[in-house]
Amino acid sequence: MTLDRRAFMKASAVSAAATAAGMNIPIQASNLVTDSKLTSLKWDKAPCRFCGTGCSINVATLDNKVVATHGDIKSPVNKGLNCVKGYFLSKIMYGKDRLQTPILRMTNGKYDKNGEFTPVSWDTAFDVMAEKYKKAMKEKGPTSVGMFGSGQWTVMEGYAAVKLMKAGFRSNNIDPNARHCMASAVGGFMRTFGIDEPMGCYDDFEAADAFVLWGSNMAEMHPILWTRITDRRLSAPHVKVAVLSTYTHRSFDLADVPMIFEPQTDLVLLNFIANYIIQNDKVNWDFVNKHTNFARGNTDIGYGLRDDHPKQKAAKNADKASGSTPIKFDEYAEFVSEYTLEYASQISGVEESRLLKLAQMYADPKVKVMSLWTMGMNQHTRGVWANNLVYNIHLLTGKISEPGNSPFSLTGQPSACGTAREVGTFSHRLPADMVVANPKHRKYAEKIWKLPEGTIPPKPGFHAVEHNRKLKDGEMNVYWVQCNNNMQAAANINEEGLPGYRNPENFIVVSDAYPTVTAQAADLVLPTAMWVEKEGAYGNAERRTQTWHQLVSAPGESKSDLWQLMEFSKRFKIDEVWPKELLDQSPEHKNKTLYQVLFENGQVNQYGIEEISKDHLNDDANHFGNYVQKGLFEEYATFGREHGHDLAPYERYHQERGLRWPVVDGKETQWRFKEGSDPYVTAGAGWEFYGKPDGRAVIFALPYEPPAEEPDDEYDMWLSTGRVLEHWHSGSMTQRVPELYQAVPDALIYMHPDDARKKGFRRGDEVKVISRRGEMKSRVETRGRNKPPKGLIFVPWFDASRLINKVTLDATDPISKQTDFKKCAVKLEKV
Amino acid sequence: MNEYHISSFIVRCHKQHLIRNVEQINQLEGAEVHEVESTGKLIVTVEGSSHRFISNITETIRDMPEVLDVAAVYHEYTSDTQI
Amino acid sequence: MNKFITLLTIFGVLTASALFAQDIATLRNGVEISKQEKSQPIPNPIKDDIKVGRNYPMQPPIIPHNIRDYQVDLNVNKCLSCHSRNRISESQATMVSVTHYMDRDGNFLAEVSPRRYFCTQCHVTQHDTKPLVENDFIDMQKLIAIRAEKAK
Repeated sequence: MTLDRRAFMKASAVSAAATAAGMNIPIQASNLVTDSKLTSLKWDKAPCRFCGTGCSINVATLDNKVVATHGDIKSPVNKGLNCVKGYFLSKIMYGKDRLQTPILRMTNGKYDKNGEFTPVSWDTAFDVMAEKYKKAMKEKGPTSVGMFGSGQWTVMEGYAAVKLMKAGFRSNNIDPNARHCMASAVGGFMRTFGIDEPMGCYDDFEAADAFVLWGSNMAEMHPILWTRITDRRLSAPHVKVAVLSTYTHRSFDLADVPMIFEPQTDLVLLNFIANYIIQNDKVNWDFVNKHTNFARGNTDIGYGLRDDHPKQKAAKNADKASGSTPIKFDEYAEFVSEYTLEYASQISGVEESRLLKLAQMYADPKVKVMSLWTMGMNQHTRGVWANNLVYNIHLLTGKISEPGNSPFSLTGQPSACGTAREVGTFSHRLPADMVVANPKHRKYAEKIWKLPEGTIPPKPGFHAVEHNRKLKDGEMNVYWVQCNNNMQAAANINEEGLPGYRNPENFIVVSDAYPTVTAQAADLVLPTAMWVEKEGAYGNAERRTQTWHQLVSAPGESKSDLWQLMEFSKRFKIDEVWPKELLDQSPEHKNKTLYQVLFENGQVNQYGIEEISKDHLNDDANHFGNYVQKGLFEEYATFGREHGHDLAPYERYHQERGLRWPVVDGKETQWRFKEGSDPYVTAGAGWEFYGKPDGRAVIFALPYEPPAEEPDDEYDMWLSTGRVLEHWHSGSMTQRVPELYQAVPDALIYMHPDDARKKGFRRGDEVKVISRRGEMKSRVETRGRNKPPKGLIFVPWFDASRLINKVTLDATDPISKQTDFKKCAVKLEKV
Repeated sequence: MNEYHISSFIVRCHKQHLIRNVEQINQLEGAEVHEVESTGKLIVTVEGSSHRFISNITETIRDMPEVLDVAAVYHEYTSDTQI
Repeated sequence: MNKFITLLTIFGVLTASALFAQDIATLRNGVEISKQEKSQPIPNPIKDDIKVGRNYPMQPPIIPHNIRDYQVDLNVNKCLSCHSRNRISESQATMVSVTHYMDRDGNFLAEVSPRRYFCTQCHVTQHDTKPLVENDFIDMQKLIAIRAEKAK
C-alpha cells in the first residue's frame, strides 16, 4: 500500500460529499484517468430542443447518460455556437422530479376528478382513457374529443397525431400550440403567396445591407441568428440595423435606428413605408407588373372573441375576415396615400427622422434588406395583416427571394415549421399546405392513407383558443395535451382554461416529462420521453429538416409521444369509431383496430428493424417491430414530393446537418420562387410565385384598426408579455437547470422608473397586475434588461409560480385565430 | 498501531464570508477545502489518526461564527500502517 | 485491512407523497393554480468572484461578479475591457477562450470575433436563490471514475 491508496480514499471522500451536495467537481484532478477506453465519449448530432433557429448540437453520451453538449461546428446554422440555453441542454432531462409512471386522480382506488394523483400502470391509464373517449364519442360524436399538440412534437409524432385524430377518431379538433405562435405568419404566407414558409434562408444574413426587426427581440429569442446579424453588422461597416418595438430590449444594443412605437401602430408604419416608396418613385415596376396583383382586404373583422362579446357583435365582417377584392395599383396608391410621414410619426410616437431612415432603407434599390419578425407581429389581432403589409414593401421594391433581400418570418419553436405547419397539425389543415375544407385535398389524403372517401370530416375543427372555450362550455369533453404547457401559456385561464379543464364533465390527459402547471390541471398525466430519449425529426425556420437518433433511454416508464399515440390506437376497433356507411365502403377494415388501419397499412410498417442504426437505441421501433419513424416520415413525405415540398429520403437526414426543402434531385433549395435557385420556377420567368394559380403574389390594401383593448382611466397601462433568453417558453425544462434558474429566477414586472415613482412603488416592491380577467403578483423591476416606455409594463411568462396568463386577453386575429399576447390593459396595485 | 482516518463534510456558510471561512478551515490541521460553491457550500475533508481527532476538528469548524451547518457524508479508515 | 464506510444520505428525497397530492406542479411549490404565494424578493446577483466549476469542458463559465450597468453595445464592450487578451495582465481577469477569436469558418482573427460580441448570450450571472428542483445530471468524470473502479 502506498500514498496512492490514501489519495484514492481522499478522492472517494470528496466525491461522496460532492455527489451528496449536488456539486460537479473534477474529482479525478489529482488522479487523472487517461485510459482512452474509459474516457472516450460517444458523440452524436441532434438539433437543439429549444427555439426555431434549429441549431445543430453535438451530444456526448456515456453509460446511457447525456454528459455534455456543444454547438456543432459542421452545422451551417450555428457553426459551433450555442446560446446559454443550448449550452445547458445536457441538464434538461435530469430534473429530479421527472415523472416516472402514469398518475391518475383517484379516490379509493377509482378514478375521481377530485381525487389525488396516484401512480397507475400504462394499462390502467389507457383503460380509463379509452373508456372516456368511447363514452364521449358515443354520446356526442367525434367532435367531443380534442387534442392539443405542439411545434415541439417530432415530425413523426405530429403526423401520427393528425392521422389518429382526423382519420381515426374523425375529429378535426386538433391544434398545436403553434397557433399561439405562428398562425398569423401562416395566414400571411397563404394570403400573399398561396404557399407557406419563408422564401429566403439564413444565408441572407451574410448578404444583407440592412436588417429591420419588426417587434422581434432576436438578441434573446433567436440568439444564434442574432450572432450572425452582429457578425455582419460589425464586420461590414455599411450595414445598418433598425429595431422596432414597443419597449427597449437587448436587440437595441446593436441598433443604428432604434424606434419605440405605440402598440398596434406598426400597421401605420408599414403603410407609410409603402406610401413613401410610391411617392418617391421607387416602385420596381418591372417586378410589380410581372409578378404581383393588388387586392383590398375586408375591414372591421372583429377580435376573435366569443360570439356574444359586444365587440364581436359590432364587427361588420367578423364572419368573412379573410375576404378581399381585386383592385388596381392606382387604388392601392390612393389607399396608402393617407399614411404620410407626419401622420405616421404622430400616431406611432416615432421621430420623423428615424422613420425616414427606415423608409429609405427599403426604398433604395441598392440596399439589400432583410425584414425579421416573430411574436410582435404574429401575436397581434391584426397579425395576418401585419405580415401581408411587410410583404407589400418587399414586393413593391422587388426585394425578395434573392440573397440579402428577404422578408423573413422567424419561427418560435423547434418544429413549428416542420411539424405544426408542414405536417398540418392545425384544425383546418392537412400535410403539405392542404386543408380539410377542400374536397380534393381530403381525397388526396385519403388515397395516400388507403382510407375510404369521406373518412376525413370536411368542417375545420376548433382552434386552440376555442378549445378552452369548448371545454368550459362542455362541448368538448375528452382532451389530450402533448408536448406543451398550455395552462401556463394560453391567455385568460381564469375565465376559460382552468374552468374548462376542471369542468366535471371533462377528462383531461397531459403527456409531459415533468409535472407542469398543465399536468396539475389534468386528470391523467402520462410520463413522456423527451428529445434524445427518442428518435425524431424537426424542421426549422429556414425550411431545414433535421433528424436525430435516440441516444439514451427514458427514465422509469416514460414513453415517447409517438409510442403513446400509436399504442393508444390499439384500444379502438374501427367499428367503434367509424359510422356504418364508411365501414361499408371498406369491408377490408372491419374488425381491425385503429392501429392496424392507420399504422399497419403496409406503408408505415414497411421498413424492418434491421434498418435501424446498429450504434443507436430505438425503443419505439423495437417495441412496434418495424422502423416506425422512417415509415411515418416516408408516408408523410409522399404528400409533398413533386408538390413544392419535396423531402429527401429519410436516411439522408441522418447524414446531413439538415436540408432545406424542396429537396429536388438530391439538392436543397435556398431561395424559393427565384429562377436558378428554385427548380419549381418556369424557365425564363425570373420569379414565379407558384403558390398562386397565376404565379403572382398579392399586395394588400389593409388599414390601421385599433387593438381589442386599450388602456383607459381605470386600467391605465399596457401589458406586453414575452420570453427571456435563459428560459425556453414556460420554463418546464430550463427552470430545472440550476444555472439557468439562478440566472433568471423569477418573472418580474419591468416598468419605467417614472411610472413606478408616480404610483409610489420602489424597485423590488411586490405589486399586483390586475386586468378585467384576473391578477398576478410580482416584484417591480425598474432597471432590468427590458426598459419599457412610460405607460407600458412587460412581464415574461416563463414563471410557473407567477402566472401572467391569468391577466392576458384571449382576443385573437380573426383570420389566423392567434392570440394577441402583446396588448391588453392593466392596472397596478401595491400588495 | 497507526490508523488513517478520512471524513468528508458539506459545510454551509454565509456566502459573504465564504473566502474567510475557506482560509480559516484550511489553517486547521488535517482539514482541507476541496470545492467551493458560490452559494455558500464547501466540500471539506479532514484527515487524522483517530476518530476523536476528526470530531474535534469538525466541532471547531462547526463553532466558527459564520458556519451554518456541517453535514458529515463519508468516513473511512484503515489500520494499514504503510499508508 | 479494516475498513468501514458510512454514507449518510443528506438528499432531501423528493418524497413520493408529493405525487399523492393534487398540487403536483413542483415549480409552484404546491400552490393551487387559482392561488399565488407571496413573491420572493428580487434576489441579488452573486458577486463573490469565486470561479464556479463547469458541468463539462465546453460549458461557458458563469459570471461570478455583478454586471449591472455594463455597457455592451455598438460603441463599447465593457466586458472586453478586462477579459480581452491585451487587458488581462492588468485586470487579472480570465482571458476569453481562444474559440472566441475564430470566425464562422474557423479562421483565427486578430481580435475577438464579432459573432461573439454579445457576451451575455452565453455567459450569465447567478442570483442568490435556491434552485427550485434538484438536478440529477452526473459529471462525466464521476461516470469515468465508476468505470475505472469497476475496471480494477
